[in-house]
Amino acid sequence: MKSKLTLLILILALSGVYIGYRMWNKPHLDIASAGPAASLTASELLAEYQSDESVANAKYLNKVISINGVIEAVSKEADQVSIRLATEDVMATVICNLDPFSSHAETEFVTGRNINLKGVCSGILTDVVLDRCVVINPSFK
Amino acid sequence: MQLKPVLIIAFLVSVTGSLPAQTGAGGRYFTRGAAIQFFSDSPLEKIEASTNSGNCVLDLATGKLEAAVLINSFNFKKALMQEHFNENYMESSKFPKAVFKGSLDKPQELTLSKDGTYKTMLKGEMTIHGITRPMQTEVVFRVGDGKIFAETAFDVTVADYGIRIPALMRDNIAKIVRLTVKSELQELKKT
Repeated sequence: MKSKLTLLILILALSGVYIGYRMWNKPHLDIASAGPAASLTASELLAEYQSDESVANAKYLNKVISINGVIEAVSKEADQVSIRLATEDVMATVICNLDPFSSHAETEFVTGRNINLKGVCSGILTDVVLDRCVVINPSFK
Repeated sequence: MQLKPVLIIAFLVSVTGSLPAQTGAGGRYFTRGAAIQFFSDSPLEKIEASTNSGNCVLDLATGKLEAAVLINSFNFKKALMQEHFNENYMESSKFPKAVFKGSLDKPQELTLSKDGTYKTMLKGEMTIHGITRPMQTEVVFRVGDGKIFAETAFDVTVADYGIRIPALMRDNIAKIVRLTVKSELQELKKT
């Protein structure tokens, strides 16, 4: 009887440790398989943010969105690749920071290319920023 | 409603345009890719996060500087930490950005067109988590090879900005976190 109780406590303790461990090591959201909450072009997204930031934040902030645009510039700093998508506003772009937790088929991008990315919207400063982006339409060379 | 950086630039342009011509220093500088790192060092764990999308505009004629960063853009190694940071502590859906507005001491001594290292104090107001507090820090400018780098490091007392850490987590999260900012500034060309 006593040994059964000990066994039960042991099993409970172990499963507690296991659940705790799983929670602690919870993986980052898998962007590639997440269904986007919205799908729009870089110009459309920027225009929505510029016309009313709080409305746009309510719609997109912290959500996975799919974005289409033309690459205006690419920068790489300490392994962080940032892709700037051109918009109709010459002063502002949509910045897409590639996800540091995903593996990417390509990390070199040419300007002028049409690209479709998925990422989490972080809001607007000068530019609208999407973090944790993954490329949806890889280029085939 | 926050002033858009574009408006701020426009404002700075109009303000400096109306000032009498100054000799030597001047010019406006900006970045949209400042690297900001966050360290919390507590007895139980070290927490680190970083982002590469800090914005900053500096008007050298007046020394005025404005900077902003999106809270959501900070990346943590652990997904759980990032979630807690955004949802429980910073409440980034309510307060999506942190903003600093202030000015540099003696901007006329910063000749960013000449190679060298320049140190100056930056004083102003920081808004984090919807709360605005005064703050100051030393900024170091390094000019060389046609590039201008600016960096600073400062401490932020979490409680100052109304960020509550539950008793259970008190040994895991530092009361004072360290922030470092590094960025390359570009001159804003007149169009």
